[in-house]
Amino acid sequence: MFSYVKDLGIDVLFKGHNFLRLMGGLLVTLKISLISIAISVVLGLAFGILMQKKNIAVRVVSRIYIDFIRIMPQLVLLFIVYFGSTRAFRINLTGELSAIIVFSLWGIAEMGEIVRGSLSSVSNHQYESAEALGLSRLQTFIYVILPQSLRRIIPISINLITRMIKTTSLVLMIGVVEMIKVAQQIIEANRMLSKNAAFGVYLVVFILYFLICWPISVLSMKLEKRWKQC
Amino acid sequence: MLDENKKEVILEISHLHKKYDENFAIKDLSLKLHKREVVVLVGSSGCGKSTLLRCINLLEDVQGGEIKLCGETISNRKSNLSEIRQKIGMVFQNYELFPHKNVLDNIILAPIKVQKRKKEEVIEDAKVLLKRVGLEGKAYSMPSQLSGGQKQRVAIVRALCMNPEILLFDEVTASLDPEMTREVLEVILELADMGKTMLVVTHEMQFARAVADRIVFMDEGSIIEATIPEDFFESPNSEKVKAFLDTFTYKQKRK
Repeated sequence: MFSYVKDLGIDVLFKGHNFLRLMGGLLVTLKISLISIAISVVLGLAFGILMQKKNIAVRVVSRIYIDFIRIMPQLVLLFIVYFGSTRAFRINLTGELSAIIVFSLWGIAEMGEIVRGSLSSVSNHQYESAEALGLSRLQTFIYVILPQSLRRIIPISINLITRMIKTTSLVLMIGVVEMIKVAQQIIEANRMLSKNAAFGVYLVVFILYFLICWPISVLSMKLEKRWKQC
Repeated sequence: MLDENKKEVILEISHLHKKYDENFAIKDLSLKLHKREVVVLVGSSGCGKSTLLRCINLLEDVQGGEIKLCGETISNRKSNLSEIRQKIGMVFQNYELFPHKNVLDNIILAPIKVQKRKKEEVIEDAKVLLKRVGLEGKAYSMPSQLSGGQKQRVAIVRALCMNPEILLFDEVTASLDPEMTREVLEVILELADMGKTMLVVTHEMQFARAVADRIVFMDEGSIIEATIPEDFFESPNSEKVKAFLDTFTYKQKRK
């Protein structure tokens, strides 16, 4: 049994503090993801509502922002913020902070698009019925439009959230020691002793990502199914 | 037709003009509705009937003339719209219930949030009204579980629950099949018997005849004829009304 574990190369994780270190890396991954997601959800909602405005300046600026963020690979954005900010603004951002900035910028743009799309998919008749009943604009938004939109927003944005969690793996490129970076370090250190370490350690990394993202996407499917009925 | 309790004027429209870009949708239209009176608006599509209702409910600006509700000028008001709309109950052609709320919550939303009435009291009212339209068993159903006719009856109850001064019906049976049309129209007939003041746009001529105190025929944004149902159907004055009524009968036989 033990030899089987050795062949997979998982044994290195049981040496010293290796497994704890990997969990530490996981915490860094989760910290960056969760903070960015929280910022994206709150500001993305506001951004989406703002984009409903017919003001041309608002439209142009938000369009440019969204397109810029979408066209740029996240890695390039990370490099621009992490390395560029030091040169351009003479501020020294830590890798984690740069990562949170980049992922929030990305999340706000994507979230804003989701919110805008969902809001505008609510039919005009809903606004008119609510207004005809004497509801104010704010009341119409809070009691009629937003609840209907949220049923569309939540399942799609959960998809965005899992994408954001997965993509945080890129931050190892700006020197942040997150889960994959720790995994690499463990593999490197045990290269001579355990030839299969790469397979075993990455397998565990895979399982950890899966354990985080899978429940989230199951939740999204369940919500979608439940809300489809109404 | 005007007995004593019908003298109080609820709605007074005088010389109303409504333009979309350069085209007149309503031209110099004047109309009075007394308390407890039921006026049915008829006319071919695009004659301005629905636009008139939308103007009354302040969903549209007007370019001339004025609309008075209970003596107060309401046309082109920019503030306190809510206060006026509470007095006007409107039911649209498309069943516009709020799909995320059940029947009861659809009905009680506005009375609670807009009129700030007590929830228990509104629920009681709502249940009485639901019973009256034969939907007492559907209070906790979602709109998606209702038929078109049931949805429209709920929409009527939702408007009624605000205790409006006047009810506006905009082709509420246009997208319903005949049986459902009947159940909705019966509800409206009952409201007429209860003495509600109503302005009804419909294409159902039999129903118009049954429910109306007065029939108003519109064409190209103006009133062509306004008279009691018997005269309108039996001896119309204008050629346009005759032509319109002819569209509902088939004189030609197959060869």
